[in-house]
Amino acid sequence: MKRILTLILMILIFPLILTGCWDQKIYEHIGFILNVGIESSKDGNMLITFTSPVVGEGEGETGVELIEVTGGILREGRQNARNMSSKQLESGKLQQFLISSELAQKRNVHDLIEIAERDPILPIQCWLVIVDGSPNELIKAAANLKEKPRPAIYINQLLENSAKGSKIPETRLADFNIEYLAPGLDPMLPLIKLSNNQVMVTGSALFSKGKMTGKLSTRQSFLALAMMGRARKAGFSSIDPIFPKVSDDGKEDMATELRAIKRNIKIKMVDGEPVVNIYINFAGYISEYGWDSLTDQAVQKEIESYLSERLKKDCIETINILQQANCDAIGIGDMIRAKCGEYWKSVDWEDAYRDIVIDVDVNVDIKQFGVID
Amino acid sequence: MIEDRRNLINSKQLMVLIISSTAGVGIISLPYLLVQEVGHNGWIAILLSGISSMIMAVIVFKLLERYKNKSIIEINLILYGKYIGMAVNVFYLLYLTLKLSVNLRIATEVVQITVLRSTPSIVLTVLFFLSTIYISWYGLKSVCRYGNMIFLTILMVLVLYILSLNKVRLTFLLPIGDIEIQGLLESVKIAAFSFLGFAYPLAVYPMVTDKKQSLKYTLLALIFSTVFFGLTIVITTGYFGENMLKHMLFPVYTLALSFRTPIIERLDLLFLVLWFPAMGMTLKGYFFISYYWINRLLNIKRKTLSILLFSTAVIIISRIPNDYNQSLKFLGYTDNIGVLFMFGMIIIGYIMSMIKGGHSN
Amino acid sequence: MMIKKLKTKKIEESGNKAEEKDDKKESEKVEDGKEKLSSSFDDNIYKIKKSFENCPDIIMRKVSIGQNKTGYFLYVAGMVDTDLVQRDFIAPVLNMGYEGLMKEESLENLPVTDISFPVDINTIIDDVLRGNTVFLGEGIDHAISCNLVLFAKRSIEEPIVEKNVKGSHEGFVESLLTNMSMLRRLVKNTSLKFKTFKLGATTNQTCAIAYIEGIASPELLSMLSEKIKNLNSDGFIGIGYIEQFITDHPNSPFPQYLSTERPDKTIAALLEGKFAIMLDGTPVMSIVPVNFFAFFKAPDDYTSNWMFGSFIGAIRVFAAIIAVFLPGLYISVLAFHYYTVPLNLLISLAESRSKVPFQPLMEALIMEITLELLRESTIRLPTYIGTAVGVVGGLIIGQSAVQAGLVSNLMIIVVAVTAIASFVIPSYDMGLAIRFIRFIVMLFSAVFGIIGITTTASLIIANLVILESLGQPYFQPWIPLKLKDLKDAVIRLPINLHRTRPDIAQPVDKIRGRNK
Repeated sequence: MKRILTLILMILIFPLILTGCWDQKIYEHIGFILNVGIESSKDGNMLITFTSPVVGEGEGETGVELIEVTGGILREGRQNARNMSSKQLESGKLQQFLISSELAQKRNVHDLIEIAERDPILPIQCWLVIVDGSPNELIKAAANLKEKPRPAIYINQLLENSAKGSKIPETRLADFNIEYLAPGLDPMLPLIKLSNNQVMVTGSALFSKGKMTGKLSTRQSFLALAMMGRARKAGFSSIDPIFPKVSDDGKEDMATELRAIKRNIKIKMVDGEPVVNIYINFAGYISEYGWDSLTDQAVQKEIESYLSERLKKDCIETINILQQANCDAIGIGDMIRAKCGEYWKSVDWEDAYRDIVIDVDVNVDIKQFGVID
Repeated sequence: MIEDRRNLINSKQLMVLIISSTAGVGIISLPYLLVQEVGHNGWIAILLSGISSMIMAVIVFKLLERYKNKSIIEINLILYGKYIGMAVNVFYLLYLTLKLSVNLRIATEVVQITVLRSTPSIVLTVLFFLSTIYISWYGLKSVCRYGNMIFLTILMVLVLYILSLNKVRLTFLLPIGDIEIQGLLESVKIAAFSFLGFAYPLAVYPMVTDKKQSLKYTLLALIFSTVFFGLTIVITTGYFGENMLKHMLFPVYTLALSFRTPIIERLDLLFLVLWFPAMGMTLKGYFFISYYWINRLLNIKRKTLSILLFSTAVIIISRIPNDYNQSLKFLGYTDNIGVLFMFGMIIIGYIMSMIKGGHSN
Repeated sequence: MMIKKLKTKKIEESGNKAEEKDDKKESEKVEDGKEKLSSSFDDNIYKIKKSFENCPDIIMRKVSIGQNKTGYFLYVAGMVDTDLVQRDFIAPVLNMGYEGLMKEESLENLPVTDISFPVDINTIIDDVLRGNTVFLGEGIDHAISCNLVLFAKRSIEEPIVEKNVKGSHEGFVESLLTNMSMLRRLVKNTSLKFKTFKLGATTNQTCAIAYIEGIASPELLSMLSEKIKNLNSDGFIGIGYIEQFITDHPNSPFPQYLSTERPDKTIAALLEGKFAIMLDGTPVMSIVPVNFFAFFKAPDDYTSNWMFGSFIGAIRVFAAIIAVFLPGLYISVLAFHYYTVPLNLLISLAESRSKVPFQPLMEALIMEITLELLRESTIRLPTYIGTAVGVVGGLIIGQSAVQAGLVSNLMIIVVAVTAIASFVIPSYDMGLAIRFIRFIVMLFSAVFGIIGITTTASLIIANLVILESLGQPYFQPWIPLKLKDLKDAVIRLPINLHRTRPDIAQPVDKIRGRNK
């Protein structure tokens, strides 16, 4: 009896004692992949670029190990890269995926990055960025910039600051997948490019059915975000031609920091077709104007109505671009599906979106204008 | 029969037992299972199954109050006579043991898939079971006291939900109500078995000291579970949307992965740290009840040996499914048996007790 | 003079006790088999001399008491106050002469504080061993035993390990009588009772349970008394021996008895209905029943503002959590979950770790074991070397280890923070428990990563939930939740809210202060 007892006890406890630490990944033996660049290569496969920081021996502050491989899928790329890397490459700290725009136009990005959702180690809050050009060149150029931090960190900081300023949508990988899979919603991704050997944020890329179909400038991205209701906290500096003109000293533009504090979308069915009305209320803080009196209510009112008109025009232009690119980033399809179920079931939203009538009403409210009048 | 002092609990502890046993393993894959059947209307299923379990709880207590101080095992023997009653009891205990094994397997699989990929499954199973055996040895009172920690986990999960609120789209939950009846019934069945709370008093009724309050606290526990599960479904559906949710095996875990916090950057590990004991608490509830009643029925005196044999048996049964999906299927089969059995047994039991006139010793 | 005063107070109690004992002895003589004094004086002397054979410290002083009769004074040299014995006992006895010694009244008027008249050999021998001076006279059928005890003992000074800022600086000493008197000075009330026991088959020590009648629960008292009565061992060198024998859960690392050398802590506990176990020969008392949070409190918390008391109390619990889990967390992050390290820390951490040849577990074990060695060694060293070694050890060893490439910078910080956090805990026993558990956490986390830490944490909580101190749940007032006791668990609410006594000792009278 005692022997059986001991036997059972041993069976239960032995697995714990017999070590072999199965899952260990020792920190200093790991090469952290910080970003991945993906584009088409000449032989029909993909050219995948990995960067991982060089630690210890090497170039101190900004040493980066750059590995380029070709492969059909992402995991194959990492596998090939591991054949060359100095440390075992692991992707737990991935900061961005950089996808070239021409690859994004050719292939479905959602299928491309499916590995990120499947593998729980990959962070799905990494940035998903479209590069207007070749990510490989961008990364190489960024790695050579001595006065900037390592490429991944540099791009990270750049993107985060831009998102804070509402210039680009803060669409991370998780958000991209959510917006792609939801019917009636399409994702928008940040767009960067290499310019003058520096990385520059140029706006956003529009997606329809997972492929890139258009782009927006930073100003248009801001307006699109305002229409989505996401530009509440951030302040975007809107540069407009100065009005009313202050003096003849040649100052051409003025700057206003705008926040979209309120957004309302009303959808009505008129003759079986939906009519959409977007109403946005901006709060404006005049940053740069001219040495003239802004305490005068009349002048303020003029500026407000001028800005409202301009923004309304720009919004409608943005919406046209969105509709042409067939990218329903604002989510109108989603709202129609929620409210007018019959209509939703009767049309194919992919086609119907282009022709929907969308009207925008903008109101700008100047709240402050600094410490001089 | 006078219960061992270590097994006596009061109604508040009963409430904690019910909540801690239901909010563990069930919630991990519940949104995934529900969305396959009813799409974005999962919360309706939760509401319906919550209401039905509360009704069942009332019937359960009516049945138990007829036979003061007896649990369902003894009541079955009275109602159906010795042989059929014994058969019903054996079936009941087998069901509980099966449920325990499947839950154990699911819990092990979750840990293996998300964190420790290469550690052998059986080692993880033993890890889980260590604290379960330890606490069950010391009686029901300790199990309930330990179960109080579930509130810490629930608090953290609520904080997670609040953090994710700004990205939840209510439009993902609309329009309400375009579902088929078949899917609704199926989903109510799945949901009802993720919180089997009303069945706990059946087995532990004699161990509750203030029986008059126990119905009230059981209902409170069921309401709490319903609200918590409902909130989970609403938030995960609103965050991910129906289509994405169809593909996600562990929605709450992926929710924790999805956003970025200032220092820790990834909440998934923190989530797992607090969820691991929560899953353990589900196991403790089932383990204690099945172990205790098997001991009572077979009149076993040697506690050490029986607890080890029982654990080994449970571990062996938990190895039967091959992987996570199979264990989910297994869970589905056990639930099917459970419908017939739990609901049927309770209702028939009540009717029979009315017929028999009911003893009150 | 002070000693005389103390003894005057003690007369009532021990005098009563001695008379009780004597009465008992009168009736139990036959049953106990205690040897009565035989009529033959030489017989008695022979028996006594035989027992005191080879005990050169026990003196038998022969005197002649007139009428050709002899008597003996028996005492332990070194335990009696020779001045007082000579002046107030020997001189009057010799002056009384033989007739005077036969009369009871004159004996009772001897100018000594504590006097008794034993009639059997065992009591005489016991009395002598206790420090009494016993006079045995030929032809006199009772012996005269008086208590004029004076032995060298430590003066009252602040306990070394339990210092405080704003309170009394007295600590208990080794003599049980002195300790009892210190408690009596603080509680000037007859409801402070001491229940005494004789323990130790060879050492015959006295053990006392102090409690306040009217507050302490009689059931718990009888439970505790039963346990102590059933103790059976040679001798109890320290209070820890008693604790280990009577504890309910000897296999749990957590202490179930709070040990203290301070009178003010003891009194505070007694006022809540708890019991203090005192042992002759050790200055440490054991307070029982206690809960987990009592080990995180110091008297300073109560003498200052409630805000600071709560703040420091919360910091102590936080320190305990750090002391247990931080090295394990460090190991699991570096060995399993590299992706939890924040981005800013990523590369600098990798750089400092790249110079280290060891695995995180090895590194952590090396540093932790070195620190444990350092800690144990400073206890043995004299103070003036000890402090220097502490400083030297900490700085130099740490610095050199990093330079030599044995450990990384972050490891030094982790170890230092852990060590400091473990010193924050006021109780020595709890500190030991935490040091021990930390190693188990480290081992588990090295094999299973964060799941190892979780498993260990759940086992620890399971242990805490199961533990009982004298039958009372250990982890109250959190589990089981007692809202009204939460005001004094981790945080401390203002003192005017402390109107009720906590449930842990099941007090009979629940309200503090005067009952209106």
